[in-house]
Order: sequence, then C-alpha cells, then structure tokens
Amino acid sequence: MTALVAVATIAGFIWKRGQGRVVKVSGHTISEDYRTPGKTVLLQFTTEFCSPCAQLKPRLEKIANFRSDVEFRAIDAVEHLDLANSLGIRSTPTTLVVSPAGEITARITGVAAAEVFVNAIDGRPSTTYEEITI
Amino acid sequence: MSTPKGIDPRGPRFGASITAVALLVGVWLTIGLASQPVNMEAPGYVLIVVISAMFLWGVLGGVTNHPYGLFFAKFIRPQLKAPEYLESPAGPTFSQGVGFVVTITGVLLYIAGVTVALPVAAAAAFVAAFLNAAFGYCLGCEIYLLFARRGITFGLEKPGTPRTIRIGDEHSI
Repeated sequence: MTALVAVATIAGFIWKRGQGRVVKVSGHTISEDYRTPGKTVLLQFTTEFCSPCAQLKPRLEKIANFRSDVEFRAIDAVEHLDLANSLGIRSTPTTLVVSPAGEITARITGVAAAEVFVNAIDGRPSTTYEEITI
Repeated sequence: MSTPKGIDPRGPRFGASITAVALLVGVWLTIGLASQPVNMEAPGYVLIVVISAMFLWGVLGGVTNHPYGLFFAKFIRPQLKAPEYLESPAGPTFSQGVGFVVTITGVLLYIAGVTVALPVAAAAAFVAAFLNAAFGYCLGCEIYLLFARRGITFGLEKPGTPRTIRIGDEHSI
C-alpha cells in the first residue's frame, strides 16, 4: 500500500517537474509574422481542448498589460502545425519568449507562476532553468 | 438565467480525491483476494463493483450529474473563490469512462478466475485518481485530448460547447 502511494507520488512529482520548466534557447529566430518591433513577445502555443492553456493565458495577458515592452500572442498549435513542428512544440501550453529582433530566447513548458515568465523575459534564471541551444 | 457552459475544474479534482481514497481502501481489501478462490461477497470485490458503478454514473450522466459533482456544487463550491477559468466537462467525463473500463475489466477478469486482476485494476485506477487529486494531472483528460485533436470526441463535445471559458469572458458555473 505504501509502495503504491509512493509510486503514484513519484509519478506526480516527475510530471510536476516538467511543468513550468524554463529552457534558455539561443540560435533560433522566428518569422516576422510572430514578432513585434520594440517588444518582447510571449508566444503561447495552445490548443482548443487544452484546459491548462486557459489557466495560463490570463497570467501572460496580465504580464503584457503591466509591461509596455511585452506583448502577448496566442497561437493554435493545430492550426499552425508546421510552425509548431518546426519549433519542436510537443505539448500545450508551451510559451516562447521572442525578443524584439525575433530571436527565441526561452521556452517554458506547461503552467508556471507569472514570476517564471517575467524572469525569462528579463533573462534572469528561475529555479527550473537550464540552458540549451537548438 | 444563463445556461451553464463550463464546469469548475476543482469539481472533478474533488471527486478524484474521494475516488482515490475509496480505491486505496479497495486495493487494501482486494490484495488478499488475489490468492483466494473467487468470492463475490467479499467486501473488496463489492467495493470495486460500487466504484465501477460510480464511474459508469459519471459516463452516462456526465460529471455535473455525478453525486460527487453535485455535492461539490452544492456544499464546496459556494465556500470557494471563483475559479480562474471554467472547462468543458468532456475531458473529466471521458476520464470517468477510462476509470469504468479499468475497474470493470478487473471485475470481469476476477469473475473469470483471474483473481489478481482485481487489485491490479484497483491499483491502476488509484494511481490515476491520485495524480488528479494530489497533482491536478488528469490522465483520462490527456487521453481524451489525443482523440479530440484528431476530431474524435465520442459525442462529448456538442456543437457550440466551449472547451474552456475564462472567468470574465462569460461567467457561468
């Protein structure tokens, strides 16, 4: 019984660990359609049936409302399948931080606190932070 | 009066908590049955049958008409703040179906003489219910998404049914 609860708990923590994981990205730019001059874009990949996407969206909108240098955009991953595949979007919500120059600087998988996104925008590390190049 | 268009996502999680506790008791009661002849009066067997029936209720009536959902709406929901968003009941309803399939498979195999199937099915269902209750990870909803993205919704998504609604856009519970 204890082992069963332990296995379920470990499985839960493994899943939780993947949520809100911030990956610093470099060497990848995005098309002009998805960038805004002078602003950092929070580009959220979402799907129609994704409840966590709806949970995350108001947090990102709030960040964009509070910061004049940030814009929020949501993209349906199914409707933009080619883009999602080219960017390696495997699950929703996945949020990309796109610099004014169109460079993808970070990728956040799943739902995370607003602070995690603000840190990613400002290039500050969060607790769930790793650096890769794609 | 507006028509309800979504459910409070905390409702299914509340139901999953009750189910997880019941299934844990079920696992405890059925472990011993695995090494004994089939006994359809054993408390563990009866409990898993009841849990399976509750899952079936959720499938046929939808999570909003499930006893746990009704209890949540009447007694728990009024004590809580408004949720950040509402969600379509389709995923949680599909999850009830997954729970039903898992538990009824265990029951049928047990009746057929595969006695170990009952605690195994109870344990598998417990893990899924526990993940939802403790971590908010709805395994059945994820399985539903795999189908829904391919346009297979099992009739759970009626035309015009919003998948998710942000509070503020349309407020209905």
